[in-house]
Amino acid sequence: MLRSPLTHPRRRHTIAAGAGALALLLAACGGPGAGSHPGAGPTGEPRRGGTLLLGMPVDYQTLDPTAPNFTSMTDYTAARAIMDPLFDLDRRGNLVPVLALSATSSDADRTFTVALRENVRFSDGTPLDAQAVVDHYKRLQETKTCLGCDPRVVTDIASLSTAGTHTVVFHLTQPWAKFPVLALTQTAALIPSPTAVRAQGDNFGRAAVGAGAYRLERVAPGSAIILVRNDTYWRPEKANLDKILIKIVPDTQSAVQSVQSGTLDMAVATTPTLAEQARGANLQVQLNEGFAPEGLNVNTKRPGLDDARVRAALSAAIDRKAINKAAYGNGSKPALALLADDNPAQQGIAVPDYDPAAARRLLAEYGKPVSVDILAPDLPAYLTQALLLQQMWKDVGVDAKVTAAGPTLNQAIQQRNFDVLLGPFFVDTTTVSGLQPSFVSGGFSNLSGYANPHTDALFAKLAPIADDAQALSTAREIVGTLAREVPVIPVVRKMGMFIGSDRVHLPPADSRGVDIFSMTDVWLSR
Amino acid sequence: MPVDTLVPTAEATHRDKVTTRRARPGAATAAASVVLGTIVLAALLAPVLPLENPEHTDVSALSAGFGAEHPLGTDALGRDTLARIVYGARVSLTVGLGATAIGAVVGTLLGMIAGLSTGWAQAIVMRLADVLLAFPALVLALAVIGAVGPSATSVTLVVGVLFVPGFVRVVQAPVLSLAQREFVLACRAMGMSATRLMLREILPNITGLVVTYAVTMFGLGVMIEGGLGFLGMSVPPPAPTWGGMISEGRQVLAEHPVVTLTPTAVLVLVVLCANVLGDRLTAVFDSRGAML
Amino acid sequence: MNARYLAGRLGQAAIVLAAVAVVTFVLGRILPGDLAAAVLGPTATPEQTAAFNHRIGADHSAIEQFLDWLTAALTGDLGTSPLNGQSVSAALRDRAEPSLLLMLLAEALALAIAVPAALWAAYRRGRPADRIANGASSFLLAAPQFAIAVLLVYVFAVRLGWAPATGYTPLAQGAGETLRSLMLPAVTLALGLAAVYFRVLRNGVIETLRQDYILAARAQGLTPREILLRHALRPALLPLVTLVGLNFGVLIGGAVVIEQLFAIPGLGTYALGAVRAKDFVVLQSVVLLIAALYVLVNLAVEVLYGLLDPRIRHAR
Repeated sequence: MLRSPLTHPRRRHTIAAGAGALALLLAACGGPGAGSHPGAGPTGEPRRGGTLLLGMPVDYQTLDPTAPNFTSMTDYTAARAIMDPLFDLDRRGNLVPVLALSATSSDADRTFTVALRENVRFSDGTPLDAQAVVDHYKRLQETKTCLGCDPRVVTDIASLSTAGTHTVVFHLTQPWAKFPVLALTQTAALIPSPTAVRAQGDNFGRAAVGAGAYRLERVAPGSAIILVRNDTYWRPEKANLDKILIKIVPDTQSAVQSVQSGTLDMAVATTPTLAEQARGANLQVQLNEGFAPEGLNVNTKRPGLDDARVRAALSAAIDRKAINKAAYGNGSKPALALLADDNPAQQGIAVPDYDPAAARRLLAEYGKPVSVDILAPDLPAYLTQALLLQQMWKDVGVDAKVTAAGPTLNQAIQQRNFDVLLGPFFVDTTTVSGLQPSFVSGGFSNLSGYANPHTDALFAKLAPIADDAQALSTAREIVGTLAREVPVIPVVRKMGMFIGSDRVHLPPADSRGVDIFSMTDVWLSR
Repeated sequence: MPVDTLVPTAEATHRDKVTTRRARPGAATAAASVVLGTIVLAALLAPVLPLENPEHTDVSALSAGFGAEHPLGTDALGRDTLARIVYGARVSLTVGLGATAIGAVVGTLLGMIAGLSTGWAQAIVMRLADVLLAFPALVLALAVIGAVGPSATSVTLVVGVLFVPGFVRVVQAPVLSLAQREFVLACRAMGMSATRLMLREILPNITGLVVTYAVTMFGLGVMIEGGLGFLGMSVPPPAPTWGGMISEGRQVLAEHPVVTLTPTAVLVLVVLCANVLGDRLTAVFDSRGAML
Repeated sequence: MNARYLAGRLGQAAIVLAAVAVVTFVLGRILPGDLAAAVLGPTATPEQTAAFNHRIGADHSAIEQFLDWLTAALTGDLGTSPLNGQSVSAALRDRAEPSLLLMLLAEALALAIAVPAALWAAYRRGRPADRIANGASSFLLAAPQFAIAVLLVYVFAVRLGWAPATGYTPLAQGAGETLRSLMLPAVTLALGLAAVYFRVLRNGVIETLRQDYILAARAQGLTPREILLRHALRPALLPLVTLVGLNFGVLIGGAVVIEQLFAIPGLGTYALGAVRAKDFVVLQSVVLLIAALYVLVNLAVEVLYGLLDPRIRHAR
């Protein structure tokens, strides 16, 4: 889910408020990790005990996954430790049972029956049963504010029912073959204690209770989130730490120094350049590559940008290797595709790669002068990228400007008040089906204003096909159309980074996030 | 120190009487003048100097060290550091000089009013100064800069406003005592208008004080611009500012400390020179005062 | 300092605070950005935005909102931040603690460095010790805080491990740990302050040493130490007291860079966050608190000043 790509630490940490929300939708945007461990952490059997001091660059806002401001990596990390989901996803995008044991489809993918694990209790003693899950999804539908959820969770679930104490039945309005992957995992599937939700109401975000490995002791916004072990956790061997202090450390440079000096055990950062510093200090460093690329949302309603040739030219003018080098210290990876490299639907399909001559040719074909204002979050990594893009576009004859936006960024996006928007994509790139809300006409997270009846029809055709092999030709047609018409321009793969002292056993990256993870994999050596 | 020490340094310097160094200009003063002069000149002539485009990125020369092609190296985007420092000086100096001018003119005027008048006018001026001093400077800066849009103008404006209460305080106390002196009382008795009194009789007597204070405030203005740039609240990128350069350079501090150290050193140097000149002026005016 | 004078000053303070509240309100209006957009994110629909604004009362007129806030605030209810649901009064309590302690510590350290150094330098005026101290103070005055901070953290946290690099330990968890956690940020602030205090005090003492009564004291055969401590220090302290008071106020809400670098949850960053998110409820309260602390400290300084210098009692 959504980490908070925008909420980079340094000077604008307070942007979390605004830009954090941008992060949001990314709900399904991370990807398989690619780890590297220069320093060495403890190995062997996990050890029980100890207090983990974890530094996070962005402030807490809420621990309620259904709330609209549940956006940052800090919120997600804490909420994920407090609440277990129904399913996890493994690195290949397959379901891994957690609170749920299985999900079976029937009625041509219009009905899904989910079997829950028995004998699981929330940390407040409430039993996890079918009603708790039903209550949760009903709440998602009522509040309509879960930005990390696929919007079809709200629109496409016709009704929910229980079949016995531990079986939930989802009835959908239309066939949706990828329902389990898109609706029963991640943010949407973090199940809260119904007792606590009832008791706390709007305050649940500050007093979250779930069936996770840890329970919330206290929240001190601006300072720390304190978690303690849930002694009734259903997988006691996975709750290794006595206590977790998630400390808010806005300055990433300070965070690295804190890990070096032992003030923190572990820190999460979003600037690969800092990895060098951490490596130099002999710390453990783990870079995690996201599924989802980041790059440019092109406003297809703006003159000039409404022409696919111009959008293709912009893509062809970008030297992605240079951007990776200058903005990410070669710690990231150039990206020409939305989906993961090994996704069969993506094979052989890419947006135009660096070819300044081709870019000039396309612009000449278009024939009119093109000017583009790049709207970028005023965070260092994005600004750096924006400045490089400006130069590259100028080099092919596009009149490019850069506008850095702080508190006004979300408003500008809401109002589609930009030419091109640099940042993370609001796109779920685990499956082609997940692309739908971002590219279907009038889609929930369609920031480009892209509208193509042909693509809409293809998405409608794809939805009911359960079998990936059978769906492949339609899926490839969608991906191919998007690569040709370029409503978004991928630039690099999103990277995240954990650094840790030698006493921490670092977690693997969450299956879909670059810097979010499950606390069940962390332990301390002494 | 950015905004934080706004008032302190302000207060400090007007009381700062380095009376040990008497009238003769020393080597330090000369060096400080030369440094400041050079930087001012370079900033003024920037467009005609053989400098690279300060916004031109070059991915083949990222964080390059000192060398023939880039005398002061390049930053993390391959932009020429020398060019950025010179162009950044335009912003820093505009803010330093502009804000000082605003503070000095408005502050001196209000300070004289508060010193010469009694009752309402004095109360209003002094309470206004109190409100400005009590108000968190950063909130003010963000609001004004946010409303007007970040530019050299808005930064200058906001720093200038922040400087006003300091000048008011510096001016008001001596004016208060001047107002009791025979020559002022005599002028008043002769029916001289308040404006004329202020400009002809009072102002010449406090000019030294104001100039001395202003020189130090200039250094502080440069420092504050650096602080705002560091917090990302000065002129927005890609335009170079010293504070912004320092802040951006921190990203590669571990591998390429020079990228951030060079602009830091320039900033320190300029503020240091302004302080040296301020001390010197204090000594000059002090010794003149002593001769009176 | 009689009661009537004090009452007058309190009245002035109230006027200043009222003006601060109004100015905050006006500035809050012209701030860029939108709270609903900050909370609801870029994909919020106009309906969601409207519903949110209705819930937090932002659909009322600006004046109504201000009056609502004022009425509630006067009854002691500062409301909750729509951003994270935290009660503003609880947040102010939590955040005032590190801010106040940091300032106290920084001031104490600065004086502990500056006073002896200034006396020594004034006494050895023009000698190498004086020159070195002067040079150091000039340099510290010009050095940006962040540079001092990075250096201190590297030496004392990373290399020597004497103090934590970041974070604040609340008093409730032990005063010793609190002190340790504030050590580096306090030293960073204190070095800059000490340079200012040093210069003011040194020059004040030199000035005093020229006075006739000092010459008389010297003629009476008092030792230099007695002259410095008994006769020269006290008058020279007066301007310093004013300065220390002013600094308290400025630092309470203004140490934002230090709070960010050292991850200290203080009032400065709280105010900054409120400004950036356009969080009206928080902004009003935090600005007013900072201003009130400033006004109070300076009032206290004035009283202290009166005690130190009897001449002031009847002035003004």
